[in-house]
Amino acid sequence: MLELRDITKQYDGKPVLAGISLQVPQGEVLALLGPSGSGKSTLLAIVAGLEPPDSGQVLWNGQDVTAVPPHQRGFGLMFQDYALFPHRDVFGNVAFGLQMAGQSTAATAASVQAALALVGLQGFEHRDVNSLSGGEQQRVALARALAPEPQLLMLDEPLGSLDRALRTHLVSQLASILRQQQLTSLYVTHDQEEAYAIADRVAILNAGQLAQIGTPEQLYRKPATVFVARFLGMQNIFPTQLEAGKLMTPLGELPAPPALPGGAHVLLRPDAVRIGAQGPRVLSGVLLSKQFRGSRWQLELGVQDTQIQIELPSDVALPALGATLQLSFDPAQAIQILSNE
Amino acid sequence: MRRAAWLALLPLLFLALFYFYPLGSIFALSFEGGWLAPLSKLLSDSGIHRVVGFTFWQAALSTALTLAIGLPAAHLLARYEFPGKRLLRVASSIPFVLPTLVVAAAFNAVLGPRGWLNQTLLAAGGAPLEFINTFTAILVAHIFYNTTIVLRMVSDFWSRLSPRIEQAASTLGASGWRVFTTVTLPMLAPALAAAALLVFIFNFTSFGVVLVLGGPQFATIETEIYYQTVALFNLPAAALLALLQLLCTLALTIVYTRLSARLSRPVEQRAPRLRPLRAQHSAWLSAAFLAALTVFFIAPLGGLAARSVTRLETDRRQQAGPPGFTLDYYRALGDDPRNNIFFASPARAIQTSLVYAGATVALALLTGVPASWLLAQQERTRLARWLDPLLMLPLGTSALTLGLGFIVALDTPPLDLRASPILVPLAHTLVALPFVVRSLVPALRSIRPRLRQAAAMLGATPRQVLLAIDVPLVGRAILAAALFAFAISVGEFGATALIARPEYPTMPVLIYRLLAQPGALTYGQAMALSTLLMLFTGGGMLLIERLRIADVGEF
Repeated sequence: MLELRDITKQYDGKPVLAGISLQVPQGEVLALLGPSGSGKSTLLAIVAGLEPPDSGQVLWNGQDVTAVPPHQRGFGLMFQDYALFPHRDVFGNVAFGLQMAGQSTAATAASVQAALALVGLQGFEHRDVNSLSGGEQQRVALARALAPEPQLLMLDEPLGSLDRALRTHLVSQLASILRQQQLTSLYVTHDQEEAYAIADRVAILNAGQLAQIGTPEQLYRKPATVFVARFLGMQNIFPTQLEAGKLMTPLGELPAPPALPGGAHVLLRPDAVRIGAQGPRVLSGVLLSKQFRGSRWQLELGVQDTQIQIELPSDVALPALGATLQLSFDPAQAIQILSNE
Repeated sequence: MRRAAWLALLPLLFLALFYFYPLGSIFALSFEGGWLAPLSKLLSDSGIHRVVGFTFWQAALSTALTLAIGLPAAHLLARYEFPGKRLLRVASSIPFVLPTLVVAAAFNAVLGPRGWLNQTLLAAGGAPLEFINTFTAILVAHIFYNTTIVLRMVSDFWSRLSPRIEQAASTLGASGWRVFTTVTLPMLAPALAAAALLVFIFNFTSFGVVLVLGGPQFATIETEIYYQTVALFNLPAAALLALLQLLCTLALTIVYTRLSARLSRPVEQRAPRLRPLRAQHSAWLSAAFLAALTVFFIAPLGGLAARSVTRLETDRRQQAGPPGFTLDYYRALGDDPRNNIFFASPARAIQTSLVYAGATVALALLTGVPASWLLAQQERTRLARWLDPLLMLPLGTSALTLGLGFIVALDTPPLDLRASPILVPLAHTLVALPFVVRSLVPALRSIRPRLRQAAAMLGATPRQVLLAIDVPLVGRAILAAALFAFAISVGEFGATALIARPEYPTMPVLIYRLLAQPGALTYGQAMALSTLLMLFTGGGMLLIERLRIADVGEF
């Protein structure tokens, strides 16, 4: 199990990591998700031992490894740009870790074969790594990181430099390889779909701080902050005001929960709204635009002076643009209160 | 001063002693008669006017002809796929790395009085064709050398220009020719101008070709420096010409640097999509043109190698064997044809060249490696920003100017190296240094810290990282740089012709002397020696290509 305790790091006086603590249990794949500059790669470098933290500890199975040099940690790292050794062929790259561990030639050859088979590159042993395509280089890098059987595998935006089509294809392959190997893994990405597809849990980083950590479903159901909701691509986020114990929102008054954080926002789930005035809450708005999306309609409504996005099943009958539409929702399901951090 | 600044000491000292001091001496010599003396001499001397005029004229005409042949070929290479395309690319690039004396000997082997064509004509009872010692010979050799520059610079650029733009122009009503003049040509202009200027610079400073193929009736600034120095020993006149040459090349190089900086801005990048040549309007004409061009690049070099193992002349005195295949010319490499102080056996010249090349490699690495190490560092110190252009200066200085500088500066105290055999390797190092640095820097830069980190993550101890990552990568780069220095040293002619001691000619110098001598055997020796020199330099360049890792290298 990997445990990070209050890791901090500054570059030129600017804080890059401001107190990160988290745990990754044995066999779990944890995605570190965040925009560029949020500190994900720095955190990875600290876990790898390539960078020392300013303060805080890295523990592996309860042992403090903060001062252990990278080559003695037994962790594997797949670099964003792969960092393949240009002077070694595919075999030479994948065998490198095994050779450093002093494995016999025969055992090394067998392990390399197994690793190449795992990533589907049998027969590539003696190819020049510089002549491989991006996807092939990515798989060589993965095989190289997997071959020495690291205790912890770290992947730094492993699909970052590939084009979209190739990424979707490789992401499911990568996910199944990680599951199959039951490797404890840290997976850095800025792409939420990639994180959802690969990880058991996702940690969202914002400006060097852990914004939220949880399963993909938890994050989707209960985003904790405005940042998390926005970063996950959610819409309908509105500011609120607290007046006499009530939360005033563009969607109407809501009962304020106890211990309401300052500057709280509300999130309206576009798909938790029904057509008609049956309640418990009714909302009426002017239909501004409608887009047919196969199984559903995507609508834009003008409610007073704000616009909200909603989704309705595609079998409902819609009025013409400009007409008023009556909608109902249950605040308990449709509304999520977000803290503004 | 930074921690690593002392690394710059050796290269800077080298440049100061062997570049700036000699050039300064040329300046001093030119201005001996007062500050205005060179100017009035330049303005009044009609001999100088003729030389300068011819230098510009032959360079301009050579450049125009090179473009006339290179541009259609560049277009076909950029837009079409055809069998033999790789062959044409490779064949056209070989001359560029060969020593001038090899090229001169190659044209001699094909079109010279004892060459394939004229021997065949003679045997058939025809009149021999005059080629050597004509203006045509100079032009043809310049085209042979420099077409590859046009092909590389223009066709690369051309293939990345989107044909969509041209298609857009034709949908807007432009005819094929209008599309070319109003759309294609303006877009190509930066690449075209840069290529043309580079070709012009090479033609302007061309020495061996003019001297050996043009003969004594054609004088450019370069050959005139040589005649004034070697034949007349008029050092002040030579110094004045060298000063003029220096100013011209400096101005041309500055313009070229400006142009090529603009060139690095990509217009529209796209992966080239090639059509088969059959799809072209005049496919047969194009195919014939490409085939002729390929033959033009291969024939002289092939002709040289073949001539070195073939006897063509029937010997009336019956001393030599019958015409046909022979290894006599190689067997005769140990013979000294004249047996006087101005000659040596080809075997001795090979020995001399190899010793000089070895010394050049050592000197070039000694100065080039520390300089490259400094330049390859991530953060550009002020020192590195200064060092970079300084190291490139010898590249923009003609070989004859460098050689003359040595003669003027290094034969008197405080630095009297006149009799020292180290003079030639010093000059070669000066010529090779820019190439060594330009090949080392990107290679050293390519060893990204990432690779060391990746090795550490795979369990490599710091010592193992050094042995498995740094040593092989740096070693390869240094080997490539050493080969560069070697190939340049064995092929260098201009500076060597001035400073080599008569009893120790290098391979190119002896080839020059042998070609000027009568006699079938002497000619055969020249062919054999040239073929060996071609193999040395060609082989060296081939090895460098092999050693190159992926997209590393700036040349």
